Amino acid sequence: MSSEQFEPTVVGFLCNWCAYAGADLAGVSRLQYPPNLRAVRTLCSATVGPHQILKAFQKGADGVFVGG
Amino acid sequence: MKDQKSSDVRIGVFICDCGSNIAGYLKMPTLVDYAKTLDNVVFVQENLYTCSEGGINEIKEAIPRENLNRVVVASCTPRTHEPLFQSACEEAGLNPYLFEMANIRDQCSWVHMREGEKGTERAKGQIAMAVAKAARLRPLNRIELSLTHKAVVIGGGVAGMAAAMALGNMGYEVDLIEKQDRLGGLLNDLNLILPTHEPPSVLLDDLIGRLENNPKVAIRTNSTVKKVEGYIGNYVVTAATDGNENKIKTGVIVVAVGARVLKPAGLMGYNGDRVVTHLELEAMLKQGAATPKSVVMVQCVGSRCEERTYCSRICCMTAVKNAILLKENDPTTSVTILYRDMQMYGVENEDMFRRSKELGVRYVTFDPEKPPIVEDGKVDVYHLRMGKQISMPADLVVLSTPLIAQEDVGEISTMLKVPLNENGFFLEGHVKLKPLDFATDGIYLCGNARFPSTIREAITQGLGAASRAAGVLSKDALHTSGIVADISPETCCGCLGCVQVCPYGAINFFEDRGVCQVNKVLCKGCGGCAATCPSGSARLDGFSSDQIYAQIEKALAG
Amino acid sequence: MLAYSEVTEFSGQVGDFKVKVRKRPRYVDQSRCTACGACAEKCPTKVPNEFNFGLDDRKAIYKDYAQGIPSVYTIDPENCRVLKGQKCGVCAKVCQAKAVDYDQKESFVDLNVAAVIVSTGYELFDATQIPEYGYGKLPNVISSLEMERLLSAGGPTKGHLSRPSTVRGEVRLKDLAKLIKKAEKSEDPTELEALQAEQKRVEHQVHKYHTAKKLGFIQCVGSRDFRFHKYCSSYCCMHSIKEAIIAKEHEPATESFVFYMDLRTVGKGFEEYKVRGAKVSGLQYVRGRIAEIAQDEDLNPVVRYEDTEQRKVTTMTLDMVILANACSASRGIVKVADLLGLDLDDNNFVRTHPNRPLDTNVPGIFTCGCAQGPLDIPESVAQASSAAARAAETVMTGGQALAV
Repeated sequence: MSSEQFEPTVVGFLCNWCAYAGADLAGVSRLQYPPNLRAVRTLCSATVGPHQILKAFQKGADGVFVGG
Repeated sequence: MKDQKSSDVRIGVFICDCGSNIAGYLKMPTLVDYAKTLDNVVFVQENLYTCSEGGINEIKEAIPRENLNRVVVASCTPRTHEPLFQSACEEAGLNPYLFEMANIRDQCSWVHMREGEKGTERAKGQIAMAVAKAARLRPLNRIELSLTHKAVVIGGGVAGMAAAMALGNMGYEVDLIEKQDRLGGLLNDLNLILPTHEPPSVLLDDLIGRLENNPKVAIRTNSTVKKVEGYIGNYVVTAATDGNENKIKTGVIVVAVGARVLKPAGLMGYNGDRVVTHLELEAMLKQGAATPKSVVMVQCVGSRCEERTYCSRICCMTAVKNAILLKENDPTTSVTILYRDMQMYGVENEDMFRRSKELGVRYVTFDPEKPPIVEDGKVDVYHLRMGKQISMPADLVVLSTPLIAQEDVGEISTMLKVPLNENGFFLEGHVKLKPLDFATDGIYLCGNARFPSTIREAITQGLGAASRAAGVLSKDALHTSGIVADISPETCCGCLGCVQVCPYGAINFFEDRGVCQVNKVLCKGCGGCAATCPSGSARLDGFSSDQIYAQIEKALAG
Repeated sequence: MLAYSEVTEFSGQVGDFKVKVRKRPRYVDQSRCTACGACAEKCPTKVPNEFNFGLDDRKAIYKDYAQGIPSVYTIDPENCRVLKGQKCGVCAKVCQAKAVDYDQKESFVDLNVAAVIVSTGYELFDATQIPEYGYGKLPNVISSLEMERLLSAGGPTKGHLSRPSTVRGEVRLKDLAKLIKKAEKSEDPTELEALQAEQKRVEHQVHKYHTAKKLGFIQCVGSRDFRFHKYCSSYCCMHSIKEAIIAKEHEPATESFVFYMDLRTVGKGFEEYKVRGAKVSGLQYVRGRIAEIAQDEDLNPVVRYEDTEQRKVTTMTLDMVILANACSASRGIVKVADLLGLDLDDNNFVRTHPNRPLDTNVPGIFTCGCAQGPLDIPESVAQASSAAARAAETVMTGGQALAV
C-alpha cells in the first residue's frame, strides 16, 4: 500500500422512494458525510440483484450499500 | 431493441450552479472541463439556474442546434426536477426517456460543504455515471389504454352497499354482487346497532330502498363470483346468479365480502344454549327471550391467542352494549364482564363504557394464563386485581368471539390475485397510507373483509373505496409509465421466478407458449423480475442491467 | 393549494358556497423561491424552533421542516429585523432567485365551490394542566410529540435519545464557559464560584445521563380523565409502544415501561405489534395509573403509582418520562364552526350524523380526521377518501346533497 491515506469508494444503490429521498434530505438538512459514496439511483431496491453487487466488487468497490 | 451505436450518440451536458448552492462549494470550471472529456459528450453548458426559464430555453435550443439525442443535467435531484427537464426535452422533440440527471447538489455540494476538492471529485464521478447511463438509454413510450367506466362491488353488506351507493351517485354503473338472498350481511342478525341504538332495519331499509331506486346500481343477490379476468380498466367478472352465468365488463372491483362470527366450539363450555355468543344473545334479545338473573360475559374467546393473534376490535363495545340492554331490561340482573383490556376507544365507546358502570355492570380483569372456568350455573376466575380465585353465579354465559374471515376468501384472493394476511383478512397496499387499496391497481377494499369494523367504520370505508375507485373511473384513458419491465419471449424459459416476486401481480404465464409476459399497465417498475430472472430475459427499461453496469464502472473509474 | 391561509368569510349553500380566503404574507415570493436555504443559513436572527419544541433554534426566515409542502421559505414577522424596522436585509442579499419581498401584503382569494371538507385536525393536550405530572417544570418529563422529535433523524438530536436536560445543559455549558471567562476578568470571586459550581453540576448531569435509557411512558394524560377529556384518544397506546420500540432500536440498552389502564390495540396488526414489543424489544407493560411525578437531585423523574396487578403502591426512578397527551379539539375549530355554521359536540369535535359518518349538520359540508374525533392514521386516511367521495357525489350531481 502506498503511504497515501486509504480512501475507500462505496457504491450505493439507493431506492428512489426511501434511501435516495433520505440522501436528498441529508442534503436539505446540510448533514455532512465523507464524499466517498457514488450513488446509483434505482426505482426500488428490488432492482438490485447479486450481479450488480458482485460487479461493483469486481470493479474495485471497497463497499456496497443497498438502501431500500 | 438494439443500443444505438455509440458514434451516433450525441450527449449535451448542462451543469447548474444553483446560484451558489453548487457553485459556492464545487469547482465548476473543473466539472465543465471534465464533462467535455467524456465519451459521446458533444456539448457542455454551465447555467446559473438550469431550471429557470432561461436554462430551460438553453436546453430546448441546444437540442436541435447541436443535434443532441441525449441530455444530461447535473443539478439538484431528479426527485423534484426530472419531470421539468424531461418535458423540456419532449418540447424540443426528444423522447423524454433519453434524459438523465446527475445529483450534484442534494447529494454532493450540500453534504460535502467543507470538502470542495473531494466533493468536486464526487460530482465528476456522478456526472460520468449519468453520461455513461445516458449513452445506453433507449426511447420509451407511455401506452394509452381504454377503460370500462363501470364498477363491480363484491359483497352487499353495509360496506359494499355504501360503496355501490357512492359510485352510483357519482354516475357510474355498478353491479353489486351478493351471495345471500338479501342485502345487509351481518347487520341483518343484530338486535340494536351502535351508536343509534336503533334496530338495524332502520338503517338497512333506508339504504336498500335508495339502492333499489338508484338507476345506476344493479343488485345481484344469490350471486357468486366465478371468475375474474383482465386488469385495471378492463376486467371481465363472471358472476353466477341462480346457476346462470353472466360476464360483466368493469373497470374496477371493490372487495367487500365481510366476515363471520367465530362459533367457539369446544371453548369455555360453549353449547349455544346457556353458553352463547353475542350474536346468539342478540337474537335472544330481539325475541325478548333473554331474562337471565345473572350474566357473565367473557371477552377475547378465541382471539388474542396463539391461534388468532389479533384483537377483533368490536367485541368489547358489543359486550358493553348488550350489558347495558340487559341492565335496562331489568336492573336487578347482575352482569359481570371478564376482560383483559376494555377496547372502548374513541368518544362514544368510552361514554357507553362509563354508562354501563353507572348502571352497575361489573368488570373483572383476568389473566390469559389463568382463564375463566365456565361450569354449570357458575364461572370461576382468578381476579387479577384482588389476587384470588372468585366464583360467580351465571344463568347465562356470553362469549365474545372474534370476527373471522369468510370461508371462501382463499378463492376470491386467487381469482383477483390479491393477498390475504395470516388471519385471512385481505392485505391492503400499505397499512398506514393505503388502507383501502391493494398493491394491484384497480381493486379496492373495505369493511370486515379488511379487518373487523364498526358500522360507521364500514360505511366510511365503503365510501372511501368508492372514492379510490372513482379516481380511476374518472379518467378518460389509462396511461402506462415508460419505466416498465419487459420479458424477452425468445429467451424466457418460463421458470415463473418473476411471477413469484412481482408484488403487483403484473406478470402472467402463458402456458401455451411457455413464457412469462409483463402487463405494462400493472407494472410499477420495481425491477424485482429483472433481478430474479436467471436467464436475463426480464429487463427494466430505464434501469436496465447494461445501464447500471455502466454506472458502476464509471463510479469506480476515478 | 393555499397554504399559510385561512377562511375569513363563508356563505351560500350546498352546490354554491362562497368562500373568502386570506393568504398571509410570507415575505417570500413562492413562485421564485427554490427552497435552497441560503437565506436561512445567513440570517442572523435565531429563534427557538417551535417544530422541535425549542430543543434547537431556527432562523427568522425558515421552513418548519425539510419535507413541508409547498417547499418555500417564510419570514416570521415577529422576529425579522427588517420587518421590525431594524437594519438587516441579509436574506434578500443572498437570495439569488430574488424571492425575498419585505413589502409583500396579505391577499384574498374568492372561491365558489359545491362542497367543503373540514379536516382541521387536533391539538396536543396541554399537560401543564396536570400539576402533579410536573410537565413544563421537570425537564425530563416530555410530551409524546417531543419524543417523536428526539427520535427523528431530522430532529434536534439527529435521532440520539438525549435527555432534554442534557440538550439544554450542553447549551448552558457553552454559555457558562463564556460567563466564567468574563467573571475571571472582572475578578468577581463570588460570581465565579457560583458559576463554577453550576458548571460542575451541569457537567455531571450532562455526562452521567447523556442518553436516556430507562423510559417511562404514561398513558391517558388528559384522556379518560373527568377533569379534562372523558373520552379515550384512541391512538396513544400504539404510539407509546412504537416510540418505546424505536428507542430500543436506537439504543439497545434501553428499558421501557408503559403505564396503562387498558392497552387499546384495536387496529389491524396492533395487538401483534404490542406482543412483539414485549417479546422482542422487552417492553414492560404495567397496569396502573401514575399518581405523581417527582424528581431526584440528578433531574431523574420519579413516578409514584399503584401496580394493580401486584396490588402495591410503589415508586420507580426513570431517566425520562414520556406523556401520552390526549387528542384535544383544536382551539381554532370554534371559530371555523361559527363561520360555517357547524355543530360541535361537548368536546368541540365536529358533530357528524350517526349513520353518515362524514356528514355534518350542514348539507354539502363534510368532515374527516381528528376534527371529528380521535383517530389513528389508517382510519384518518380511509376517512379522507370517504369525505372526498361525499364531496365528489355533491360535485358530480351538480350540487345535490344525497344521503350516503
